[in-house]
Amino acid sequence: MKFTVSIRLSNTEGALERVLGRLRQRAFEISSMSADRTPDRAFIDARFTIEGTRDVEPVIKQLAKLYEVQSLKFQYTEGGAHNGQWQNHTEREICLPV
Amino acid sequence: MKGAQILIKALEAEGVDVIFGYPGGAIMPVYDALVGSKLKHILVRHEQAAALAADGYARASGNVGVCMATSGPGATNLLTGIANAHLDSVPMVAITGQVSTTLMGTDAFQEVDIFGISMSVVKHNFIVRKTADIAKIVHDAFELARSGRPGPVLIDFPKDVVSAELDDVQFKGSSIKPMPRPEAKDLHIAHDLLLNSRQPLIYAGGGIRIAGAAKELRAFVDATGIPVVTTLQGLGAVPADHPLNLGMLGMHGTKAANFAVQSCDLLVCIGARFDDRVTGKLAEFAPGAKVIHMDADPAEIGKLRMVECAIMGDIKVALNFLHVRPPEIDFWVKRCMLNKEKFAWDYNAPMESVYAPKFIKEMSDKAPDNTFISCDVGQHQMWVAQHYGFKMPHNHLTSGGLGTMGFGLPAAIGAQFANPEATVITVSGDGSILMNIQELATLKRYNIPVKIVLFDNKALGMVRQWQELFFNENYSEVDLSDNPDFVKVAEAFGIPAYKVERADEVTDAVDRMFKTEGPVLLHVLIDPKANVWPLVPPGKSNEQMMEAKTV
Repeated sequence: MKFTVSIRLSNTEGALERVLGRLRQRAFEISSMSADRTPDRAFIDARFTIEGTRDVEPVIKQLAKLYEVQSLKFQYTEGGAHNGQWQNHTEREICLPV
Repeated sequence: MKGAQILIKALEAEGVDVIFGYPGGAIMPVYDALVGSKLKHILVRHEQAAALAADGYARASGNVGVCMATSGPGATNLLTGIANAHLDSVPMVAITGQVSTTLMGTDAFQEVDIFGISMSVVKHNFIVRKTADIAKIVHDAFELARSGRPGPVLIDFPKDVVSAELDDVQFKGSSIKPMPRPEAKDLHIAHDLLLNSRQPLIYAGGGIRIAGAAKELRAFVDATGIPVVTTLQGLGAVPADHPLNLGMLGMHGTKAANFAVQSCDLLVCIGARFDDRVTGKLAEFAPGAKVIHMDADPAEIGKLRMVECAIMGDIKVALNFLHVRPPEIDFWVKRCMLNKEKFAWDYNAPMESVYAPKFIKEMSDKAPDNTFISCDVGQHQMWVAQHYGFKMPHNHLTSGGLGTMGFGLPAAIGAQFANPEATVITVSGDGSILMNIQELATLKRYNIPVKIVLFDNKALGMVRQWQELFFNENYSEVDLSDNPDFVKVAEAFGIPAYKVERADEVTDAVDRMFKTEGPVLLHVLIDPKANVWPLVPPGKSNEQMMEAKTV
């Protein structure tokens, strides 16, 4: 299964490392990535293309609850039910203090 | 004001009353500022014990536990305790010293990248690079630790940051992000699922303790009439003697509980997470059940088991809303009750040596109200879970997720500081006790009246049991017949101790323990061949429980 995840992180120490660690621990392989700091230095906009054999929804939820993650959306590029459609994960906003 | 004083004042503003820690080089400015503050510092004798004591304090009090250590080895020694809190969702703030910012990254003396190392075992962590950030970061760390699904937060303080001066600091009072209300549509789906179920079962976990929802759970159970099984962390969520309580489920659960799980048609999971020790073979867990899952953490929903209904947010609101009695469950409840009776524990072991389950049962029957029990990890831990009658979930302190041998004694110390008037007992084994035996010095130093029940089978019993059952009795590194004399060990630390060798000595020994004012250690010899029963073998489903071979 292959998917792309697009994340806005607050630009704090360790933010990117935390995202990468989550993906690594759950055995997802990154096939490409890019990240840019916003001009005001407040955020990092990162985009990862990821492959793995495990279900992606749990790792998406685990990424979504990271302290630095401001917003997150993902799409399956291969193997998912909604190929090519962005799916928003907005648990931070609607649901819970994390 | 120095950075270190800002830190101390920020801790005071969070309502911290006790810190478990150990000083050292990089943290010295903080220890300097500690003198004369309102905070009580408990000097443990190994940093791991500081983190585990903070964990025990947090579990027993519901407040954030605080531990502190210096950089390098001090910080790495905290890690096991931090990971322990992480896996059991315990609110904790760990404070570490760090070498000065100018030295960071130079392999300086006692420098480790604790921020990087700890990243995967914390809820969140911070490095404070500016003195001006201290007050805000401490506040944020406490709020994070206690909000939502709680967990440990580590703050790394470089020495120069806590040494610098700053005027005009604003402190915020402690705060918690409120738990949102569950969504009405989810509650209505759950309501209908309950009404239409014929064989419903409540599966309650550690989330009940964390949410402080034991009262609401009991009202829910009484209103619905649905039988309950609990996880290890959920013990006491409903009282052990509640008629509808079938006991613990899972690997060492009761037969009544596991049979109920395997045959229910609706599983109401409340603050639990389908851990592998609970489910056994996941694909065969509760095979006929629809699932309602209530949890504080959205990442738990659907992680291991698909659910028909997820209820996020405040479980108290959900439990209070769902007071609905399914009309057709009488037959099911009766069947559960018959199983409970049929598979009740049998304490009549015809043996001269001490039977640990019976010892624990007797201790449980005689313990004053609100007694706290902490455990280490192994056979004794499972016996406590099976045979101690917990009435409230916060009375049971056990390392469930991480399974940390050495947890018991420091956790008991933490629990005693959280509840100075309560009786606190730690039940340990001859393997586990030596993992943090140095904390006997802490008991003595502060005259902490923790009672230690040390079951000694001269072996690493749980490993031995598995080697017996699953590795063809090929015993590898489990023999502890050369144990030290534990009575002498305790006495060397200045703690009274006595030996219990025969079954007929148990009653007197337990009475004597409860009458002892200060700390005391009971060295209880048990049969090395005793195993924990019943047992779901690894990788099997919960109905395939192994039982004791005949004595």
